[in-house]
Amino acid sequence: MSLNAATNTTRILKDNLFRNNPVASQIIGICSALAVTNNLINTFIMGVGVALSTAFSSFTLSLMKAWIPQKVRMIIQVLVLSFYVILLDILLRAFIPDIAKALGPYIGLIITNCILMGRAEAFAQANPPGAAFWDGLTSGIGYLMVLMIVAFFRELLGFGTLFGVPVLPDQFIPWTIMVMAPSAFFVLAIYIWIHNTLLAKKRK
Amino acid sequence: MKLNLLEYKDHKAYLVGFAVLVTFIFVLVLSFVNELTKEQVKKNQELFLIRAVLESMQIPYQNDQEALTIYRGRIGVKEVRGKRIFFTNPPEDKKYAILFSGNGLWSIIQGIIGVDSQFERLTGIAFVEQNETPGLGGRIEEPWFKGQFQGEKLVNGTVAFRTGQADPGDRDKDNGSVDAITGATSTSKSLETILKKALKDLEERVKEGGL
Repeated sequence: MSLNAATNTTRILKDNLFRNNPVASQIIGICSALAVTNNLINTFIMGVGVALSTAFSSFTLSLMKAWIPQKVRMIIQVLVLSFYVILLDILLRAFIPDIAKALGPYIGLIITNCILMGRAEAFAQANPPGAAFWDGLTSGIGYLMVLMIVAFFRELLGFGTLFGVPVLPDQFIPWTIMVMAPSAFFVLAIYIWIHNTLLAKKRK
Repeated sequence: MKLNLLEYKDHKAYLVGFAVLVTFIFVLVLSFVNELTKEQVKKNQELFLIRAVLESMQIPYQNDQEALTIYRGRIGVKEVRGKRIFFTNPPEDKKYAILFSGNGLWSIIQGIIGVDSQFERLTGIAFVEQNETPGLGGRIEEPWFKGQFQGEKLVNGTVAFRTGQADPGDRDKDNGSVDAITGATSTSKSLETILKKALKDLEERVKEGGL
């Protein structure tokens, strides 16, 4: 790998995790960030699912980019990402049915996650397959990272557990609001606030 | 002369041809994978059902394999007027269970409820499928909630849902009622209605089917 490619790889990683984080900076993919983050296990599987489907759909679209007519570009993008999400759904249902059951409709809804379409439009259509794969994967990890942080606080305060294991004393009264979707707005907003303040400081 | 297809990229025929071809390929792969995993998915669904039947009848098992063996050896199933009725085979204490299904808050709640031979007490409840709000209605899957049904006496052929405290729930097994879930009124109300109907269905069908 040339020096240039190596710096590029790190730059994409840093960009997608921090400076250009899909959830915290671009504020996309919020819908599922609200829905699945009251439990760390589900959040983790969901995040991995998004990372893998973004990576593979970006990779495939980048491979196909020369042949895709501009007029049907977005239709083809949706087709490819639906393909990977449905594939993921089928595999989960066949091999880890308990998790598939817990996530219910949210796996299918990855199709509508803006991160997939966003990376396909913004990166995959203008970059080589390897870079597109890496960009998709790191964007997904950036999403996973933010969701895990939100889920950490929501599960801890809402259930008194982490990954389903009780960690708070019995006297702790769970905050019911943390379990419900609205609390994700608060937690996520606080996270975005801190994230962007730190980034702004760094830029100065 | 070599034909370069890419020169015709903006031509209508290319557009249609390309879209059709790409769709065809992707859908073909998907249906192939779906076909390959169909058996496994079906088996998983069967297993969810089997585990729920055993749970509702309070028959313990260690793992999925054992659950399957016990189910095949000790449980009978009969379809009476469109509903699946499960029962223990002799010489065990007779227990009956029914697969119920009804609308919850968001989608269908499906599960199994079991009763003893005299229709006097419930043996237990288990869920096969539910998509209620996690942490609220979804708590119907929690042990304290399901535990309330074990050995609960039936009053007027059903159990009533009352406002109450969460964990540990209603421990009185003779009052014919269980504690509903705080903050999940809709789920609790739906489940109460579903169970009332399921228990009536079960009793009628056990008589009809001569079980």
